[in-house]
Amino acid sequence: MKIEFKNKLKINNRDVNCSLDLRNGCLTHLRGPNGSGKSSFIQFLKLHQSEFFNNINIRFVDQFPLQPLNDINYYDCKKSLGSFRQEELDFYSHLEVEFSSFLNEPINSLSGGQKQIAKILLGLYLSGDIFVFDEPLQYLDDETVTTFLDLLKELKKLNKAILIIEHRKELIQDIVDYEAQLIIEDEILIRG
Amino acid sequence: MEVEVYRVIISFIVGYFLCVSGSLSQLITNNSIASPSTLGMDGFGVLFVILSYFIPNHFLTYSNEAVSFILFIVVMITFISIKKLFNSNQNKMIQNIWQQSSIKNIIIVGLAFNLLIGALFSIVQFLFMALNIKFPTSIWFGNFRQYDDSWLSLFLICFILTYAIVIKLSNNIELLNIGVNFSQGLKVDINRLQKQCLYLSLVLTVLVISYFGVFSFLGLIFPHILRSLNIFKENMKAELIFGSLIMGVIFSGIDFLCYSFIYRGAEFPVGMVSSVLGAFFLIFLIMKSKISVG
Repeated sequence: MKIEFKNKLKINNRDVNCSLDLRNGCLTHLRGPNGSGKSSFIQFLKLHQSEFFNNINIRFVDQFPLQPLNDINYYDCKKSLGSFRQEELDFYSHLEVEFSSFLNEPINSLSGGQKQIAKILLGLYLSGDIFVFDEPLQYLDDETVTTFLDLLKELKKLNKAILIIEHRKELIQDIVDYEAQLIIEDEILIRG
Repeated sequence: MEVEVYRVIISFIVGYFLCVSGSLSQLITNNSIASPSTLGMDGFGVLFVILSYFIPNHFLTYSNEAVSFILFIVVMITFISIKKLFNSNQNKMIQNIWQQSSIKNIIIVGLAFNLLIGALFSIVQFLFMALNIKFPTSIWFGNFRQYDDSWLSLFLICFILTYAIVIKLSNNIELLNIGVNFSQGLKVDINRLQKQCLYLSLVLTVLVISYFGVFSFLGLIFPHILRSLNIFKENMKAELIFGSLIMGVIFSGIDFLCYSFIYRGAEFPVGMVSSVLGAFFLIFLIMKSKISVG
């Protein structure tokens, strides 16, 4: 699946010129310096997904924390998202069991890391063909990072395309298939 | 003591409107200290009341209250149609920036706007006094002393319409509650839902202010009271559909208390009580939440 566009998006007053190929069963790592506009790019994809991915379901796990107003927990969210679901991923229930100690607590009472886990699980609950993770490893402890990397491997086995933004390259280097670069010149180039 | 049935019904509807607009404004910002009062909608409503004073009454057969609300509707329709005319991709990006700008800033701007309108109100009042013109005193702290029986039909129609719209909106309301950013990834037009909620909340606030004055902070307090109850703790849909009706009944009760206990011939305006309690409540909420405000 190729994402190509020019003169559609501006980040910091620079035009963005993008040519990004996401292959099934592969993990693409998007790199670029802080503040270069990686998250803005993801946000743009999210709002314009119907232009780029017509019949393809794309799931986003972005940087913004879950912040419901009332005391709903992970399972309540799951119920609300029920109608957007397509298929069950095999390892999903296994993950729920692993984190069951806090998933039934209200989301607002969870710690940063626990909220992050709940958000990743909700993103996966919906399932899709492409998964986009924006710095998913923030707040996570070493053990959970390992679990998350296993999860990415499972997704690859299921032939899903994955795009990930992560600054600590050493954590994910074993499973990365393609490197994509965000380069700032006269315009911003996204190549991969 | 006789019970004024019309007043009881109208105050119930107003209480319902205040609660719905409070819940909706908290949902669209994903923040529990947002409300029509803290987002500056109150100031916006008062602005139209001030403007209505400058429209000569003898040109119109409507009351000041109706003029102010009609003015608001005309401005809103013009604004929306202009926005539609110039709708472009750029617009979506602007929307997005609005969503990501810190809610703290939006609330500070909202409160500052309320103060500005308050000052403007005083200036207008001063000018009226200086020019020896009678100042229309219909607006003060929100109260139901000067309600007119003929308003009942308008408020009943608005109530039925609002209830129907709320039921329709509530289908996807839980998605707003989980988080606007999270739900944008789903193929649901969450920004549109957000906009619809914003407009509904604004219309209800301005309607109440045009006719009865400002009931500060009730839109903030009511949803919090509901969420402290076990039934509504985990159900945003129930809060909007049933909870707001309960708050309407409670508000009507409070108004009845104000009506029954008259101090030296004067009735306490409900809006005055709510302004004092609400300001304390807001300070309490901010102190309690500390970091989660942003």
